[in-house]
Amino acid sequence: MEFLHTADWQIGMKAATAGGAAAAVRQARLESAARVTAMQADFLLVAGDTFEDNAVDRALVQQTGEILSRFAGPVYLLPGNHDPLQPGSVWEHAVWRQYPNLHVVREAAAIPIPGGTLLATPLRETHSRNDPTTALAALPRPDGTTIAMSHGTVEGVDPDTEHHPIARQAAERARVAYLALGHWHSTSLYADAGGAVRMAYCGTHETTKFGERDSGNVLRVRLPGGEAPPMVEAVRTGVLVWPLLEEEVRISGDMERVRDRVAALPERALLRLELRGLLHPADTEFLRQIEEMRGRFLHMTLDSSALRPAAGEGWEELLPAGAVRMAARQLRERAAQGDAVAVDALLELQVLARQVGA
Amino acid sequence: MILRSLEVDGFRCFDRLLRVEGFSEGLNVLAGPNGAGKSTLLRALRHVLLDSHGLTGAGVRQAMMPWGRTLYPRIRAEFLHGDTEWQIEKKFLSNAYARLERKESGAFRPVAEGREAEAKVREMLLAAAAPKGLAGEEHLGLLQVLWTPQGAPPPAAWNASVRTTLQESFGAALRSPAAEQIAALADKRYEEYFTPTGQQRKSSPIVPLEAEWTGLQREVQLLRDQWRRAGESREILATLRAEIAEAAARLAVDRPRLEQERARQSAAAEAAAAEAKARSHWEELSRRVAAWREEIGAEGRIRRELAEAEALHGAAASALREAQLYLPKIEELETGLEQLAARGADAKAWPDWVRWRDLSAALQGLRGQLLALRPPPAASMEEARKLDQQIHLKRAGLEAASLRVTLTAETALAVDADGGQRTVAAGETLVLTGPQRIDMRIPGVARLTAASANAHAVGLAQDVETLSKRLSALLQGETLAAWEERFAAGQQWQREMDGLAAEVRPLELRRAELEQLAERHQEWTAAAPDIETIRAEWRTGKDALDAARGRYNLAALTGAEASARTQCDGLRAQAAQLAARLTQHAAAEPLAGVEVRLEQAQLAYVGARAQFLALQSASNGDTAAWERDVRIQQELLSRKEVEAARLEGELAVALEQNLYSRLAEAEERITERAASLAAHRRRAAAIQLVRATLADAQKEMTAALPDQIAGQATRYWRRISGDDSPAIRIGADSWAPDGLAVPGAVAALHELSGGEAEQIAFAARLALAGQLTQSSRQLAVFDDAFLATDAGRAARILEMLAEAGQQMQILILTCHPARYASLPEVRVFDLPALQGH
Repeated sequence: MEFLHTADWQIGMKAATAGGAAAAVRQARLESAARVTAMQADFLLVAGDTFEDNAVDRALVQQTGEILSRFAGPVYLLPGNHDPLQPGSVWEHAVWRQYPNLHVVREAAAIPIPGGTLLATPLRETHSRNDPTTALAALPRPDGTTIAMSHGTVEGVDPDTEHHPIARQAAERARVAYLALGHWHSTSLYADAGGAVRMAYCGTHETTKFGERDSGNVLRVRLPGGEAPPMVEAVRTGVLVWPLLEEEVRISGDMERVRDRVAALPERALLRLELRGLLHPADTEFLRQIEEMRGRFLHMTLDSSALRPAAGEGWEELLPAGAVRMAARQLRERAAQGDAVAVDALLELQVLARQVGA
Repeated sequence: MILRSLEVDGFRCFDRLLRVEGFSEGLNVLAGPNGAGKSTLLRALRHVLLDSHGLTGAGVRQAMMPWGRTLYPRIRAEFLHGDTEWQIEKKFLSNAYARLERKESGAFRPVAEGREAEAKVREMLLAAAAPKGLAGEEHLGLLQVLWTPQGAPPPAAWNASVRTTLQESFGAALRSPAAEQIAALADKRYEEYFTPTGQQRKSSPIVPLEAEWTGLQREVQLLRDQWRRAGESREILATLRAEIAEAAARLAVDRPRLEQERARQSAAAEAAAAEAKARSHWEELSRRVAAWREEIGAEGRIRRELAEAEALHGAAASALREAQLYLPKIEELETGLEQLAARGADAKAWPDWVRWRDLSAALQGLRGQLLALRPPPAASMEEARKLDQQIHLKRAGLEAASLRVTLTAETALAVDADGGQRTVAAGETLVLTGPQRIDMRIPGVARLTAASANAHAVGLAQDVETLSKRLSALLQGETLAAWEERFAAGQQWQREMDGLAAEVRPLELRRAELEQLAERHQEWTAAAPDIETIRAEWRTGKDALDAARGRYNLAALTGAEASARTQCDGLRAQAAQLAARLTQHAAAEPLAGVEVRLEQAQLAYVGARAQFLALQSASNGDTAAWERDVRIQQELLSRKEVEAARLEGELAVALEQNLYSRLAEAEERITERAASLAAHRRRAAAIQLVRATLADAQKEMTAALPDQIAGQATRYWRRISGDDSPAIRIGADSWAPDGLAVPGAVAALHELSGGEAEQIAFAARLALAGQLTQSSRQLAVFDDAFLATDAGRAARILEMLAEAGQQMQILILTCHPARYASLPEVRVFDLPALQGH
């Protein structure tokens, strides 16, 4: 048995941090979804949160259903906490009846799948403190390989959330060969005492935000049969990268290095660059060059508020004598005391001075 | 300005046209003896540059017109300002005019006339217009610094235009062209966001962003609310659907159960009716048998009671007969006892008789004594007392009113007086009294008559006599004292009699009784009765009587016999009645037959009851309540289905509106706008701070100006007076020299020598002039400014003037031209020569 395990497509999600690239981000999720369905396997498991919300546009639901229908095998879709099985939910859309290879899990059931049985329980609520895997053990299981699919938070994953908690030993308790999980956006494999991976988060197929670790993957799972452990392989599907560069510049030349790093990034990137440290007058040019690279990327956020103009470089001495130089010194003193506006003002003054060739 | 030429005509001492021209842009000396008109020329230049051509009045005429001539002044000056040659011409007092011309293509062309022409020139000199009259110190503009009038001390403070120009001048000196560009760029950027007064500019990029952001906020809020409501609707709908399914399932079970229950309830009702009927029949038979049995029992009981009653009646009749036989004995006992009781009562009353007898005797004795005494009646006694008192009163009055004759015998005398004769012994005194007349005779000696006319005494004497007669008649020969004694004894005895009478009165009322008592028991007069003996006899009799009565109570025995007889009669009648009824019942149906039927009815009832209970116990409760419950369930179900349909409709509408996409896009837009807005705000704040900091720096440097001026002036001053000279002090606010900073004190200008004062003023003016001429050359005038300066210092001043001539046009007015002969490239104008003298 060989299948694909994906989840958390979050189709239609908001991408406020992507600025003007939000639409592109949403489009990329469909694109990478198409990458998933283009892959070959016996069947495809989508372990919840296919959609960001039950209120997403129905055209998007139709489009997603069509993408899924292109998979060359049955697709089993589990309603998750973002798209719980409720009246008026996305799961009432006609597309799920339109394509025979699409199967929405609408009740706790043992579903016959190629080569075995799939145990699954759909989520019906956004928030719940019940373990959705507890019902799995009670489901009938015919002969053959049994796997399961669920959606929730494995204990220890996120101490801040208690929604749909899943026990660390859920796979053993459910007595399944593999438990495909959704909800956590980073690919995470859970090995049992014998080192066999019988439970895993595949992570989202397309990164959703800055700082998201190891996302943009689908899991290819092979079950050799018998007691042999599953063979789990992460396959890259994401089309966008979300680099979060937190760079500290200290000495003159550091900014040039940052510029080079930024320049080396792929164009289909959403970049967040956070700079802190000391800005030397000579580095303002590199900073300007970084600014100018903004157009290269889908989106770029540059936060230089933690930069402090470096003192003692004699920059002020290069300014015209008199009020300008005195003003520059006063601003630098205020900036050194942590006055953020003074930092901006000093950088502004540097820009002005550069413009007049001073 | 650089002066090119000056032309005056009809002005003070210049009654003819005078034109001075060819001034150097450096050093110029206008020389002439005292009164030649040097200062007049300078004044003419001031009038043409600063004063209004329309001025009139005696003062103006005196200041301008030549002495003793009716000539009206006309003045014209040519000068360079900036890069342009100008010419200003004014005529005063008559046909007055002002005209400003500008040299264009080698020839002067008119630019403005009248006030406009004057205003333009004043603007070039930064001078203010005098509102009335000639321009004063405050209207001089830059000339206040650049022109040094003859013999006048420096002003206490420079005027505003000078100060502003100096600020700008020093500022310019501190800012390079690059700095100016930076400031200009900062201003330009600032103006993108702010108005000159610091308000946010309407065209600021922040304004549309804020408006858009605000609009987006509202839109997002609205969409979020709609989205949240849609989510809530889904949750509610899910709950409703679950509830509807549950309710429908419950109804599917409850409805058939209700139907079964209804059938069961109907059968139970029928069984209940059958049970009631059987129970009624059974109870009716039970009552009948019970009544019958009751009557049988009653008959037996009555017969037993009759037998007992008849036995009792026999005993009572026997006792009654015995009592009747003993009755005379009882009556005898009763009579004896009554007699004893009467004797006892008499014995008890006997002491009363004895006492009545004794009291009556005592009373009789007292009454006899009183009769013998015959005391006067109380009224008579009272009257006698009253008469006696009146007599005493009258006599006292008579004694006072009567005549009194006193005769004291010296020898024994016989005297006839008061109708009698008496002998008065020697030495004895005889007093004679009479009411109205006293007659006395001493036989053989004399006859004495005393008479009085007082009639009252006679009346009193008559009253006494009358009253005495009435008293005497009342007392009937007794004295009043005897009366009083008898009256008192009579009173005492009467009181005793009253006491006895009161005591005997109640006994007297029983007199007849007591007399009969005494008559019945004369024997007790000899010996008093023994009441205790009588009482003992009575008690013995009483005991005997009580015993007889107790044993032979005839009334009670008679009543008992009658009662027993009546009871026997009643019981016999009842027994007969019951026996008749029982006979009647038995004739209708024997008791055994009724009892068989009762047993059957009981069995029938038990069966019906069991059937009813069986049906009742199978019931599931109150069918009505159950039906109500089912109906409510149905209604609730209907309502929920309606609500669910409504929510589904709402959700369908919300989905058609692509709510989530719109919300996502709006939130993304707002985030982007917020970032953009924040960036703009940061930039605006930054540029605001840059500009403010530049302005502050500028102010700070300007604030240091007085020190800079003082420094420059001191350098000039030390060149004149020596390096060890004290520093010149410049007023912090006036920016004018106000003295020297000598160690530990300040030496004011007026405390210095005239030479030092004019040298300090020169140094300060030169320092300021140096600043004011930084951007363009200006004319500096010194009108005999060094009159008090010694030759040594004057030489050093000349050196300084020579240097200053490189930067400004200098015009020195002097009557000692030789002093300035050594100046390099100096142009000297000999005023008398120019005048053709």
